[in-house]
Amino acid sequence: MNGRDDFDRTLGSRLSEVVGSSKPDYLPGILARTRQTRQRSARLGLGPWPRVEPVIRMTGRPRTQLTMLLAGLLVVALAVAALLAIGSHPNPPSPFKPRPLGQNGLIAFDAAGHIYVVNADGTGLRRFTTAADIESDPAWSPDGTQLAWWRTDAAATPHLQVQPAAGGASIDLTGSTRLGTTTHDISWSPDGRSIAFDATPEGSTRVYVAAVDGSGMRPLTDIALQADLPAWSPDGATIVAHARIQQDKLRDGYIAIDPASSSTRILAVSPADLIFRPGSTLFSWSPDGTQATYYRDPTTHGEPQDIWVLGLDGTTSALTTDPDDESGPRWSPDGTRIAFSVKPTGATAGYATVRSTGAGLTTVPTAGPTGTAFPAWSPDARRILLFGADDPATPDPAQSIQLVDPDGRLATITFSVPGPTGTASWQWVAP
Amino acid sequence: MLADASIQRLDAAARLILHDPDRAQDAVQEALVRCWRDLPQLRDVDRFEAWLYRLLLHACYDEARRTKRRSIEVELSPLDVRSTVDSQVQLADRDQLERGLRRLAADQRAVIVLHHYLDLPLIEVAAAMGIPVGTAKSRLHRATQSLRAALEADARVAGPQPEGLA
Repeated sequence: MNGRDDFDRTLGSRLSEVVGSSKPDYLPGILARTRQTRQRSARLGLGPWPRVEPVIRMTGRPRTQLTMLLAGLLVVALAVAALLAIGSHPNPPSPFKPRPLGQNGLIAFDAAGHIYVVNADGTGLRRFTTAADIESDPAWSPDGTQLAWWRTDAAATPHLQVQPAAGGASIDLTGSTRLGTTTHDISWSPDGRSIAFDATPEGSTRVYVAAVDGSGMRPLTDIALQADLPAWSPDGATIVAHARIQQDKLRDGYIAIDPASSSTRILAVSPADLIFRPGSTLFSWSPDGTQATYYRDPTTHGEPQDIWVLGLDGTTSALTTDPDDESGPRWSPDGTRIAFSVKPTGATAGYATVRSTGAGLTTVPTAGPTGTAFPAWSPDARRILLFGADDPATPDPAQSIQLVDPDGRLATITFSVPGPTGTASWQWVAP
Repeated sequence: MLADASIQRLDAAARLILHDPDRAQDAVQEALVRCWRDLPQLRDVDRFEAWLYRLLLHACYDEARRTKRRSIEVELSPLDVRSTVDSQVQLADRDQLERGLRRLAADQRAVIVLHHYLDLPLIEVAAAMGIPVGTAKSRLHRATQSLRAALEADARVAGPQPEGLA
């Protein structure tokens, strides 16, 4: 038995030595609180989140009538100037167009603490990185020319690394800043110049953005929001994130961040306590940037996880309402469907797709048992990347990846990976 | 009776995750009160233990994410008064493990505590953390490696390695 096995084998008893074996003495206080706490009645479900009027912070003194008149005149003047400008430029900016479907490039994934890549047909598996440190959570840039990932050094400090797809030296975007707790989400801006992520270098979680050219990182959210799990919209105008909203008590909610101004508005506040520690990106945007899909985890109500959709107007709607645990929704690049992981109670795990309307729930055909790690779409929208499982009785993953056609027309491609994995990113290549 | 049976393990787990006895007490209190409040809504009794640990983790994460009012670099002293004096090696090992744990993020400590201290299999660790089993497995792998790396780094600073760290 080698040193590594000894470490794992003895860790439990060593942890017991750290905490000791005495019983805490504050149980009477807890019982006193429960006697004053009313139990919730059993009910069928939580229902939709209540609509919340967007909160836009207004600062400064109250305006006088004269000030408002001057502001109105300024608006008129700007409008006239804009019309003149447009008239002098015959081609005004065109509205946002979703990125076209791409060709399927390399698949990047983390396994056994390092980053690997493999061709879209499952051949050519090789290690992408060279460091001895622990590497995880690879994410291709939207144009497929760069790969970002997290590197954890010997002092357990995470570093956000970026490297050209063609190879060469990687850049450390966060340097020696101790980032504290981070979910390791990496969300690229559509122009590939910045990355949003969450971290707790100051004791409370905030959303940060780092420039890919290495020029620095800055916070986007106020500490009080405890924001995390950011996801950049396809048009670059919005970053949606999870936050803790102070009302009668701290509640889970979703916010929209303007990355240019760092202004924030609340989209929705949940009536229930939720847990979001998904270990992978929570939100997945529709290609047209109007909605984001996510999963709810109403743990404190003992209810199953379900797939939901969030609009930029704050509306939320459930796509699934069955008793199974569903998680990890990912919007297809052609905008037609959402793929997600399914874990029925007492049954084997699998994957399914559903249309954005909630109709057409369809099981994804797989080659052998699968785990429950979140899926990933191919850039051409014809395949879904899934994670295999050793034992169908328990969704404990094998070290394998399956590339399946959700419509069953193409043969499934299966290949082994060098170690436990649960995160993958598929490179978009220009058509 | 429920709280009495679980409080010791919950308290120890919270102290290992938060590395602060006062915050751990707050987290355990919050978890047990929520458990009491929402128990009628738990539809699947088989999910109770995972559900209770998830409540604890949620409370721990809330505590860990709040702005620090004071330093959390608090030594995790065991609550019991030992009747015998620990050997110097055991004491050094315990202190070194404490320092190593402090270098980890809260969610890394959580997965280590759930699997190694509470002895939960990976599928229950995943259920308690609300993450896919594959993610739990890779997170445990990373967390354990990070802890080893932190202990080795600490040993290099301290000098010759004591027994048990090879």
